[in-house]
Amino acid sequence: MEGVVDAFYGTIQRKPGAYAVIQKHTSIERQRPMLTRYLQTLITGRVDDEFVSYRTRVGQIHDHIDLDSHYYMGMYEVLRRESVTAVTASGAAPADVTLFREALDRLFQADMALCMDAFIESRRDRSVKAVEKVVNELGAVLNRVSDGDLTARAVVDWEATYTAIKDNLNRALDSLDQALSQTAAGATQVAAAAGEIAQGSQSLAQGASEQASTLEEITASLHEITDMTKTNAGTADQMQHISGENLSSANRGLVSVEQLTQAMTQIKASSDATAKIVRTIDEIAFQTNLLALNAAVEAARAGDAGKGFAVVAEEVRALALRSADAARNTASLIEESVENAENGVRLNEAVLTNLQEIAGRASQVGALVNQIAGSAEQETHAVEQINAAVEQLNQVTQQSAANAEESAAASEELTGQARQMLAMVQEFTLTNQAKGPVRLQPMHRSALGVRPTGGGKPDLELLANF
Amino acid sequence: MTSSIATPTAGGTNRQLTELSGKYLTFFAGSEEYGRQIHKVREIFCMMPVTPVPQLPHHILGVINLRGRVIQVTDFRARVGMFSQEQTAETCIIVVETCGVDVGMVVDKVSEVVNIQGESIEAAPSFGPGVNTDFLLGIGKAEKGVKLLLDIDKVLDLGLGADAGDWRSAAADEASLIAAELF
Repeated sequence: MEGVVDAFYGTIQRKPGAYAVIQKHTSIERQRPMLTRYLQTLITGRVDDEFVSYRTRVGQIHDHIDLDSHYYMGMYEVLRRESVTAVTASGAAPADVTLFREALDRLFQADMALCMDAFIESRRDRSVKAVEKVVNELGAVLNRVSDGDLTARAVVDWEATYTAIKDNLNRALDSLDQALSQTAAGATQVAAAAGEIAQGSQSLAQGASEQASTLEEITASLHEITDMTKTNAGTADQMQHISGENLSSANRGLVSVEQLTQAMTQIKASSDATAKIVRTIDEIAFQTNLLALNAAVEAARAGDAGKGFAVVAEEVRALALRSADAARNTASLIEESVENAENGVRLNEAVLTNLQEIAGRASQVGALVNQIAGSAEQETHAVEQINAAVEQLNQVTQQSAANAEESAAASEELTGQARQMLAMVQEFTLTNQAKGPVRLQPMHRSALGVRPTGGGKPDLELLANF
Repeated sequence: MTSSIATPTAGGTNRQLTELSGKYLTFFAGSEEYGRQIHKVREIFCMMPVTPVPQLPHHILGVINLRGRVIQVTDFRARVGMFSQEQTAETCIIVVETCGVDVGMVVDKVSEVVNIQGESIEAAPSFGPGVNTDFLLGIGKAEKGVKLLLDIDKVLDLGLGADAGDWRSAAADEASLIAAELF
């Protein structure tokens, strides 16, 4: 018996693989008594409960140490060979040897069945336990995940078979965790950006509103300017009319003055003619005077006889002198009259010149007023164009105010959705948890109070929930 | 102008001057009024063209044809030593008779026939030696100023000497000759 055991360990010591297995889990010294007792018990053929429970434990142990089955087969083979060799060597008859070998084979088969059953059962139990462990932890992790805790990970060491599952699970959770963290960060950024957009839109809307009111003032001023230019144009027309009347008055004056000049010239001619007549009268008076003197001379020479004649001559001479005086007076009057007429003609010429100047000025004024009227017309046109341009500007401003409001509304909506998203993300517990709730720009409805008279109408109801 | 200038004299009457009283034809030469006894005056007429005659004293303008008679014409102003003057419409020729010959005398203006009493006449004053006043009969006093009364014979004969008659006939002959040529 001892020889068989020695041969067995000798064989094992010659096989490094088998020896390493023995040395790993136990030692030859510790195992040798157990093997020896096992062989003795086996050879007695007494298979009782103790033996069965022993072999069952051995099978379980072999399962625990995960002993490969060929070591089993090898052990049985070595023990059988060495036992047969030992029996043969003891000189037993070949028939006895054969009987021994057959009996030993049956024993080994029974033992093998026992051990293998225990081994297999133990292995199956172990597998079930491992699966239970996996399932339990998996359940726990999934439970936490389903509660939103994405920090949950499978941490317990699993059977090698399930390590891949654990790794995959943890990797999936990592990915999910990271993705949701990024989503939270993104949502925060989106919310912040939406807030800025909303603020910008508010500023824009406010600016557009101010611009619109400024444009209204400009429009009012332009209307006033239009009225003024129209008044100017009307005044210029009136001025043109009046200057035309001026011109025609001056022209009529010119005609009158020319007629006056003619009349004066006629007066002068008549005066000249009269003066000539008066000169003739004067001459006649002179001649009469001379005649009277001659008569007086004759009367004187006649002595007393001529006395009466002398008186007549004297009377005639007196008449002649009076006539001459009258003629002289008339002549001086006529001269005065001629002088006055000449003065009149000169004055008339001055008046004529003045009237011509007036007429010239009147036509100049007419031309200037015409220019003014033209300018006023152009001004009116220009102001109308400006009006149209301002109207367009106004429309554009209204449009931009409306757009700004729409943009504000959209950004509000965006903020809301970002908030919702963030709230959803915050349901989860994440590794890189954002610190505190995300701050969103407060929204005031008053800032969106711009109501354009035309253009788009933003949905303020959408914003009312902020 | 028929009023007689009768100014009674306070002193004794000059007998010679009293003889001078009578009618005078007065005329102007310049601003002075002269008078001549009317019985010496033949006729008065307007200035007419005078035909000059060579070789005559400068105060004799020439001759004229008066209704067929040729008479010499003397410029009174030149004769009494006054500057000659442009003729006017009033320039006249007074025809006077002197020494039986009619002579024309050019004056500026004929004034009037006036009666001057002897007591209004004074003798011409003496202006001192060398001043010839022979041609003045006297000075007639009037309301406004004086009238120089002329001795027309002396005016026309002045400076002609004893042979004045010869000269006159010669002049008359020459004047007739020229007139015959002219007319």
